[in-house]
Amino acid sequence: MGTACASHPTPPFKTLSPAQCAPPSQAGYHLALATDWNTYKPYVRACPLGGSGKAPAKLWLLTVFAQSYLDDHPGQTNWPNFPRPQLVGADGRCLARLPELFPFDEPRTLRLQYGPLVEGMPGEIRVHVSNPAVDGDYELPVLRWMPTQHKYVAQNNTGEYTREDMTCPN
Amino acid sequence: MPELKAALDAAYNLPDSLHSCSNFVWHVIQAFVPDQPYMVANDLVKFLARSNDWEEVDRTDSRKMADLAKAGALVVGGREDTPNGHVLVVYPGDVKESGGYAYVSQGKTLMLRSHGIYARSMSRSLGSWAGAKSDGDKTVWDAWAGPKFDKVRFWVLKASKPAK
Repeated sequence: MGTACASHPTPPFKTLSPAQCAPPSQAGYHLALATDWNTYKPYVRACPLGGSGKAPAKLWLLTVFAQSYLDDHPGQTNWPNFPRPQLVGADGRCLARLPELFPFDEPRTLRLQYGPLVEGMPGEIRVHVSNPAVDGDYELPVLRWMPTQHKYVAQNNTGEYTREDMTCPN
Repeated sequence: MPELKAALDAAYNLPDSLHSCSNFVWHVIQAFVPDQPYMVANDLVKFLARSNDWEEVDRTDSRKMADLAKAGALVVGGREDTPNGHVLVVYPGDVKESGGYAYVSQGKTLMLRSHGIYARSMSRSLGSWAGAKSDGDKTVWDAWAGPKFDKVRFWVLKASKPAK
C-alpha cells in the first residue's frame, strides 16, 4: 500500500517590516550614500534582508521613507523626485533597483517578501503593490539572485514595469 | 456637433452614470454619435483603438488634449485591465496640477501631492478612489495616479475636431 507523496514545502519567504528599517549606520550599512540621496539623508533607511544577531546582513534595501519626509514638509504640495530604492551588498554595490519607494510611494504601499536564504542572500524577492487607485493592486517583476553575475535579475515584465526598470543605473 | 460641456454635464448626472465610468462615457459619445452601442470599458478601449472614426492623441501631450477639449472636441481616454478597465473624458479647461484631494492610506487620511500637470478629466467610477470621480476638478492622471497611467491611451473623435 502506497503512501501519499509529501508535497514540496513552501519556500521560507519572510516579509520585510518597515520597522526593521533604520538609518543606514544603525542598520549595519556603513558606506556612503550616492550624492542624489543627500537631499533626503535624514529620511534614508536601510532595511536588512536576511541576517540575524549572529550573522550580519549581506543585503540591504536602501529607500527613502517618503511619509516621514512629507510629515516634516507639510507645505510640500508637489511629490519630490525621490531617488529610487536600491538593493545593495556589503560592498555598496547596487544589485538591483525597485521602481517604487518602500514602504510608501503615494498613494501606494509596498509589501516585500524575500527568501529562501542561500549563503545569506535571499534567492528571490517579490513585491506586491497595494494600489487604491483604479485598476488596483499589482506585482513588481520578480527578482532572482544570480550568484555568477553577482546581482538580482528580474524574471518577467508586468503590466506596469519591464525587467529593465529593476536594473541598477549605469 | 453638440456643445461638449453641455453633453458632459447632461451625461454626468444621468442615474446610470453615477457609479459607472463606461455608462457615463457612453452617454457622452452618444451625444456625438447617436448610434454608438454601449460597451464596457475594456471593450470600448479596444473599439477606439481600431475605429477609423477616432484618432489617437499622444498621452504625454496634455496641453494638446486640453486644447482639443476647449475647442469642443471629444477626447476619450482609457486603459484595459483585469477584470475591469477604466475610461474617462477630457474636460474642457486649462491643464492643472494633479492631486490636491484626500485619500485614506492604512487608516490615515492623506492629501495627494501633485505629480505633474495634466489635462482635466470628467469621470465616474464604481470604486471609491477619489481621483476617478471628477467633474473637471481632477486630471486625467488622477484616476490611475501612478505607473498604470503610462499605458492609458487617448483618442479624439475626428468629426468633433475643430476645422484647421
